[in-house]
Formats: sequence, C-alpha cells, structure tokens
Amino acid sequence: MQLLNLELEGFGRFSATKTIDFKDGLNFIYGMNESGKSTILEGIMASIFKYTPAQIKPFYCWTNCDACKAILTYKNDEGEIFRITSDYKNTRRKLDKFTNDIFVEISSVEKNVAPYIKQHFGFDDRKVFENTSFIKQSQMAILEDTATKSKIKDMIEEVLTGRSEVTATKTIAKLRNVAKKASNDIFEQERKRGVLETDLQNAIEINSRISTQSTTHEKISKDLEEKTQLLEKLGKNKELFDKKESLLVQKNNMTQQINTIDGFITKLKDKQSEPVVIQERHEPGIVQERKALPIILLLVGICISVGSVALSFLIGLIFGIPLVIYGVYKLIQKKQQLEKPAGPKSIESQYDVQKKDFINKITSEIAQYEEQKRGLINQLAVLDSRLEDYKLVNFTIDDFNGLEELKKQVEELKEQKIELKTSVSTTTSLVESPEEVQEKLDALNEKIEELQNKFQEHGFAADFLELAQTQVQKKFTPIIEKDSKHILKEVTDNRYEDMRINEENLDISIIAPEINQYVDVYVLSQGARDQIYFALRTVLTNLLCGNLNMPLILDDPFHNFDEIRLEKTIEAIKNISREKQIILISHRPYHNEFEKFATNVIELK
Amino acid sequence: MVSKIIHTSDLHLGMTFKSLGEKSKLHRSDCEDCFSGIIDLCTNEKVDALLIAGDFFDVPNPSKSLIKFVNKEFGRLEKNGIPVFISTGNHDPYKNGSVWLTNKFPQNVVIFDSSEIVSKRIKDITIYGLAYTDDTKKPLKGFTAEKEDNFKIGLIHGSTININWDEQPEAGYRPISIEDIEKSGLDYVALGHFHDFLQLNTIIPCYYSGSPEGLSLKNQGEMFVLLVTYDDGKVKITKKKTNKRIFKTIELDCTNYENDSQIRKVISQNIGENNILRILLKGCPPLDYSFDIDLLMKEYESKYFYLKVVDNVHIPEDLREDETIRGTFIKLMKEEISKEEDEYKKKRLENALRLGVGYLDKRL
Repeated sequence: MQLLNLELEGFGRFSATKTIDFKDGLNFIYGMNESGKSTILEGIMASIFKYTPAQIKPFYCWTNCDACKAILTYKNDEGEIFRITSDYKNTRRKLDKFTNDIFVEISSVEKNVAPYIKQHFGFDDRKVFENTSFIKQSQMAILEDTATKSKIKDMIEEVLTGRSEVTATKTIAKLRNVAKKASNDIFEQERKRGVLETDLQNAIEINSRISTQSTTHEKISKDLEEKTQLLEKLGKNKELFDKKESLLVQKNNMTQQINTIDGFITKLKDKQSEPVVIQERHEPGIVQERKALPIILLLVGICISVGSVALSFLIGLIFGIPLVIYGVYKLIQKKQQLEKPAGPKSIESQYDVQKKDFINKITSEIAQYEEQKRGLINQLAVLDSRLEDYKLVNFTIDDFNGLEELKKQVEELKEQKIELKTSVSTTTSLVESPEEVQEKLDALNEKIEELQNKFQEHGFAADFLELAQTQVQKKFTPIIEKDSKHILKEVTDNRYEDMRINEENLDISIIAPEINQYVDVYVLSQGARDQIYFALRTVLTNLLCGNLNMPLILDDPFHNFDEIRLEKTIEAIKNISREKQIILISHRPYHNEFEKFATNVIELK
Repeated sequence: MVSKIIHTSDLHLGMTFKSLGEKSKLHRSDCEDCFSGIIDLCTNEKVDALLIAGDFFDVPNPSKSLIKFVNKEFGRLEKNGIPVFISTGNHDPYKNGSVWLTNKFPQNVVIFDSSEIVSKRIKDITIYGLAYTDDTKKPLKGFTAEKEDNFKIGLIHGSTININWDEQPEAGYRPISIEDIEKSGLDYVALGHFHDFLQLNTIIPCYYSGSPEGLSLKNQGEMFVLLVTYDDGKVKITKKKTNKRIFKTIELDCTNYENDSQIRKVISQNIGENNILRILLKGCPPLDYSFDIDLLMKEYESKYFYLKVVDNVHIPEDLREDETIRGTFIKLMKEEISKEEDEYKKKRLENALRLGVGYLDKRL
C-alpha cells in the first residue's frame, strides 16, 4: 500500500486546491505552526473514513464555503491505483479506479464504496488506523515516563484492543464493576421486595378481614333492625296488655264495691223491717258483770282474811280486809242503782221520735248506697265498653318473658355494631390497600428486572471481552514475537532480536546480549525503548491490517527528543522506510539526517 | 315519552397499572374521577338510568375505601332518583363473598343476580340482564324479549363472536352471535368486555361502550360512554368523551439513525400533561450509536403524564469484525446471539454487545 496523492479543496487551512504528492520511502513534510500540517493528516483520514457531519464540521474552510473536498489517490499492494473523492458539501464519496490511463468510477454509493476501502486499508475503523499506522507525538511522549512501567505493554494492548487509551483489561474491570454494583443493588432491592411481599399478604388478609367484618356488620345491622322491630311490637303489646290488666283490676274493684254496697243495703233493709227497740240506757250484760265483781272481791277478801287468821298469817289481813270492805261497798252501790225507777210517760214519746228518726236515717242511707251503686254500675259499663276494645288482646304474662332478654340483646347488638364500625374504619385508615402495595411491588419488580438485565448484560460483555482478549493475545503474541525479530534487528542495529511477550499479561522481555538473558524491557535505555516501540508498532500495524503493507504516518513524534535519542530514532525510521512508506510531519526540519535519506521533502508555507 | 340512559362498562375500578410504574396510583384515581364524571353526566343529562355492562370492579373483592367511594357516588344518583343497573362481568362476578353480596349498595342500585336473563323495569324501560357465571355460557342464546312498547335493552357482558379473532383473541369467551342479537327482539344491546368502543354490524343497535378511561397502551386515543335515547321506537346513540389521559404508542425504526434527534422530535411533538406515550425503538441502528434512554427520560418525563421509551432495537447485520480484541469481541458475541433462541436472552446479549462496544469506544 502506498499513498500517491492528496488533493484538498475548501478543507481546513486550504481554501484553494492544495495538492501533495507522496513517494515511496520517507516523505518528510515540515512547516511552521498553522501551515496546514494537521490538515493534511485529517485530509488523509477524512478520505479513508467517512466523517460524520459533527466530525467534519471543524474542517469546513472559513474562506471557501462552496466546497469541502478531500481526494486521495493510492496504490494497493497489487499495484492497482484507486482514487477516493470525498465531497463533504454533498456528503458523497466516490471511488474511481485507474484503468487504461483514466480514472473510471467504481461507485458513488457509500454502501458499495466502503467494502473496497476496508479491503484496501485492512479496516474501516478510524481508531484502529490511529492506533497502528498513525503515531502521534503524545504516544512517544508517554514512553519517557519511566515511572509508569506498563506503557509499551499498554500500547500493545491498546493496539490489540483496537482502541486508543482503552484496553480490554480496563474495560473488563469497568464492566465487572458495574455488574457487581448491580448485583449488590439487586440484593438490596430483593430484601425490600421480601418486605413488600409480606406487606401485600397482610394487606390482602386485612382487606378480606375487613370484608368479613363488613359482612358481619351487615348481618348485625339486619339482626338489630329485626330485633328492634320485634321489641317495639312487643313493647306495644305489653302496653296493651298492661292497660287491659289494669282495667280488669278496676272492674274487679268495682264489682267488689258493688257487692259491699249490696250487703249494706240488705242489712239496712233488714233493719228497716225489724220492730223498733227502745234504746236502753244500760246494757243488762254489763250490769251482771259489774254485780258479780264485788261479790268475787268480797269472797276473795273473806277467804284471804279467814285463811290468814286460820294460818295465823296476819299480814294476809292487810289484803283480805280491804278487799272485803271494797266488795261490800260496791254491792251496796249497785243495789241502790238498780232500785232507781224511770218514768213510763217519757219513755213512750222518746220511742216514737227515735223510731221516726231511725227509719228516716236508714232510708236515706239506703238511698245513698243505691246512688253509689248506680254510679258504680255506670262506671262498670264504661269499663266494659273499654274492655271491649281489648277483646282481641289476649296475651298472657308468659308472652312477655323474653322482653327483657330481647332488650338486652338489642343493646348488645348496638354495641357490637359500633365496635365493628370503628374497627373497620380504623383498620382501613391504618393499613395501605392491597392495590397500593401491589403498585409498589410492581414498581420494585420492574426495578429489579432492570437491575438484573444490567447485571446480566454487563456480565456477558465482560465475559465475552475476556474471551476475545484471551483469543487475540494467544493468537498474536507468538506472531509478534516471531515477526519482530527481523524488524527489531534492523531498528536496533542487530543489538536486539529475541522478544518474549506473555500471552496473558503482555509483559515484554528481551534478550540482553551482554548477559544473554531475558530482561524486562523497562530496564533498557530510553533510546532502546523507543526503538522497540517502533518495531512493535510496525509489526502490529502489519498484523492488524491483515498484512497489508500500510504506510506509517508520524505526527511530529520526536518533538521533545534530545540529540542522542533522535539519532537512534532516525536510524530506526531509516531502516523501516526501506520496507514501507513513511509520512513524517514535523514543525521543524530536525536534522539533516532526515533530508539525507528522505525520498520526498515538502515544506509547507 | 323519551327514554334516556347512559351505557358504560369495563371501568375496572381498583385496577393497578404495571405499565405505568409509579404513575399507577394516580391513574387508578383518574379512573375513579372518571366514574364521578359519569355520575355528573347522568345527573346533568337527567337520564332515566345508568347501565353498567360488567367489569365495574377489577377484582371481586375491592378495597373498603373504594367501595365506600362507589357507594357515595351511587348515593348521589339515588338523591336524584336515578337507578343503576349492573350486569356483572368476569372480573367482578356475582358470587359468594364478592362485593355484590358483602356490601350494601344504596337502594337505587339494581344488580342482576341470576345467571339467566331476567327483566327489570323502570319507567318506560325494560332492562334484560344476567349475572356472570362462567366463561362458556352463551348469554343471549335462545332469548326473546317480551313484546311491549317499553324501551327494551339488553345489558350483557360477553364477546361477540363474529369479529376478527386475531385482533381480539379474547373473543371466544361468553360468545354472543349476531343471530342471537337479531332474534332477541331488543331495541338496544349494551355490551361490555372489550375496552374500546365498538359498533356491531347488526340491525338491532348493538354497541360496546368500551372503558371510559384508558386502561392499557392498547387503548389509543379517546374513550367514551354512550348516551342512548329512545323516542317513539327510534334509538339514537351519542358518544360522550370521558377519558382524561390519552394513551399512545409510536414505533420508530432506528436503523438509519445517527443520533437521537429523530426520537427527540417525536417525543417533543407529542408532549402533553395528560399523554401517556410509549415509544418502541426498533430496527438495527449502528453500534456506535448508543441510546441514552435515561437522559431522554430525564429531559421529557415531566412534560408527560407518563413516558416510556422501550429499547427493542437489534444489532446491525453488517458489523465490522477486524482482528482486534474489539473485532473478536463483536464476532464472538454475534455468534452467540445467532445461536441464542430465547428472545429475552438474545436481547440481553445484543445489549451486552452494544455495551461492550460502547465502553471500548469510550462512549459509556
């Protein structure tokens, strides 16, 4: 592969058409800052790789807005000549082949152009190109940092990875890290899910309990309603019953009263028909009694007196004699009373008057009683008629046995109802509804699923990348070892030849001729390291480009080199340039040495 | 005498929305608001009855707070003397232990509790309905309404069998044939079960009102209840829009996308605080284009009721496979992806490929 010509129009620094011819061997391009060195490199890349609008934007020429073109002519390893015309104003790429002295269009459809370019350049990935064919100042600069031992190793890995500043090892670590974090998160979220699942079970249970309680509440309400109605009815019946009972009692009383009155009336009527008896002033019975008392006293007195005398118990006389005296006195008194005569005439008139009064009195009493009785009978009739209303009320007291019990039940039901209602509303307000918990659980499940995907995807990526790394390193390290022999010998003037690369960790060691033993590459001098770096880059470029002899583009990599280091490098470049095209760009002419062996020297102004 | 009813169905009150994530709770309350709106509509339109053709609740035993709310809303109709007729559905069947038996609804709520068609009358309307019992019953089979001048309505939860089975896979369930409908002697058949409005191609007007509020991303656009008037033998149906939120799904083929500007464009064009938008990303965009869905979500989430961007893209077919570790990684993953038969795992592997390349290219 050899670049032949680059033509830029309205590209970066170059508003007008700028043409650069490349030759085999070393092409040395130098110029001051802003002379367009970087533009030339970007022009080459913008031809090989189709830049996106964002990528090309910085290269739109600010003095020529009509065009933005990069035309690259090259010769492939088979000696065929092609031309890529990239017109970024029209976002089109065209590929021509030089046939019979003229360029003939192969295609201007990107889909068809791209495979050709990939075939010719070995890749269509700009990063790979930048990593292999393109050595930048910064890449050489890092080699000076001896504190970081792994720079050459990193370079190999970066090149093998196909990226810049990214290695498979670091990427795998990053992916594993993310996967690990996801796994920790999953653990944490699953713990939360466990809690929520329990919550959901509880919520469902409580809801069903509430539902049961509601059912009970409904039942109790119904029961209460029925019992209240029954109670009301019974109460009313009881009232009727009580009224009837009291009426009956009244009726009884009245009947009794009437009977009593009837008794009185009969008695009075009997009296009325009896012969009138004069009312005597004394009563014979009482006189007899009074007559007998003094005699008894007298006898008792005599007995006591006689007894006392007989028994020589003289104190007995104290009781006996007064009793005898009192008895005699009383007897005399009674005899005088009985012998007192009453006048017959006065008795006669007194009787008539008395009789008349008596009859009158009885008659009026009877009349009064009769009156009373009539009143009662009337009242009784009223009562009877009232009782007639209660004719259908035929309860017995037994019918109301359950009344108190019922009252108690109703009260109990009322209490239960209130209790249930409170319980239901408290439970409802205290716990979340199953829907709410379900929603939280759903959200959490989605989160867990996302985390699991993240874990899996990062894990897969890491696994496959690791596999790819192993495969590639295993495949390439022996080839690098083998292929580097020749180049290494060339660039180091036969000093170094045998290199060994650990296929797992890419540690590089090299046989030091002084001791004929492998030593770590980092113990070597700066100049030796630079040489080895170049040798490796060249080998890798060839390897990754499918053994196409790709040109090596050096973007001012020796900027900071001191004289000794530069001398060694120039020697290496010189040796490499015998085998491949080199395009070296620099902001200063460096050393006469370059110009001496350069096949093409271009000064940009 | 003009009779007027409102026909609705499939409110699925208490339903939770897995696809709406944290917005599920809010949309659940939207559905309740929507029901309140229907009650208002009944009152404002002074209808003779509200008819609910099943799946009023999403589950047989909804939560107590929901029942309380429903009772309150029915109570508002009771105050206005408007009865409610409910034929239960497969989600809220009339059975022991279900809300229909454990809860005491207001007096105006009439629930069809027989598994056979029975009639209920209100003013000049006769409503024929039945309770849900099993999936296989043919609700209208052999039924003929009594001949009378009343407005005769069938209130049924079931599927009409003469429809596209591919689009409506549920159709085989509680089948109602067009023949059953035409022979029924009804003036209007109020159906429930399908969640979208559907007018059947029958002589007797026969409609699915659909859910009044969108329930899934299958529901696209507006949702309705039906205001049905009957005047001198003539039935007139008016669709009344009831939904608050608008569900929408947009598929985007990202194969030729270089960045997310197309996706952004679509997202910004559909912004709305009541919009529920799901964007399905499809196709095979290039590997060096990575979707930052999280970033898109952060930017637009607040402008939607709910926004979801679903990554369903695949890897491009023409992948570069050079000899580098990156190239080998792509090659190995591709091999694995092509071997994988499980779609879910395949997608994981595809994402792993994108991830790996993203990390290697320092885009992630």
